[in-house]
Amino acid sequence: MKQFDPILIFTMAAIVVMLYCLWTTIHLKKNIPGGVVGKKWNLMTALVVMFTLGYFTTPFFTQIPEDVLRFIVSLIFFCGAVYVLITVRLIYTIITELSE
Amino acid sequence: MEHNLVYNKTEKGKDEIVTKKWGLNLNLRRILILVDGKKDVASLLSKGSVFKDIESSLEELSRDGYIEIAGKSDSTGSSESSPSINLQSSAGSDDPKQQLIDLAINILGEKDSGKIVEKLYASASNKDDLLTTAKNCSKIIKLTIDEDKAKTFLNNAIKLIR
Repeated sequence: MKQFDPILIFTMAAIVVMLYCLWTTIHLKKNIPGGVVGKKWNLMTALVVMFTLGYFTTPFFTQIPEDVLRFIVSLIFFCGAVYVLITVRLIYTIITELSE
Repeated sequence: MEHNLVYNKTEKGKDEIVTKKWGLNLNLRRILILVDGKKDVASLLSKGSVFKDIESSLEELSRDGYIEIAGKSDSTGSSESSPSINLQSSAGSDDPKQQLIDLAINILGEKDSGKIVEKLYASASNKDDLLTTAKNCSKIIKLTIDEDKAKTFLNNAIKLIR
């Protein structure tokens, strides 16, 4: 009987959720053709694509050379920080616009 | 189809706009909103650049009981053939709400005007409420469609309402 591997389960769950995020981002884009949100949405979509690709490398982390692995992880962290920054700024812009 | 025919919404048509209970598709729904008992077919056709198949849509709406013939206009309305942003092109209707709907369609086009048209249609018809709705619509346009179009819409809307 195989041993329970929580890391593998979380990795797979993360990939599934990220794929759902990617589908949602692309699916909702048609409702936001442009404007302030539309422009940021394109950037967010690009970042989600990068995250998805990055997440797909996680099952192979044991086979990737350490320096490449560190580069991938640091890149994902950086993109994550940019994503959070864009999201926070976007929410603030929307709140400001709607409260005027 | 005679181009001087003027259509008006039936009770079923008005009910459909509010309740959506017959599940009219988006294109027919938008054309139904445009029908105001004042604009003739020629005037509706002048929006041909943004709405497709208006004649067949009107026939379908009429056949299904959403609109009915209210009369005939004196002219064919050919002078309203320009689809460009022109406040005079909305002058066929003296209802400011309908003029705002026409303005939104002219500026945003068929594809992007749907939600804005529905918001304007749902607004009360007095000046204060229309102005508030127009400002809110302008914010939605700025956030989700185009910042320049939002400015153009709001400036023209204010002129129309005042």
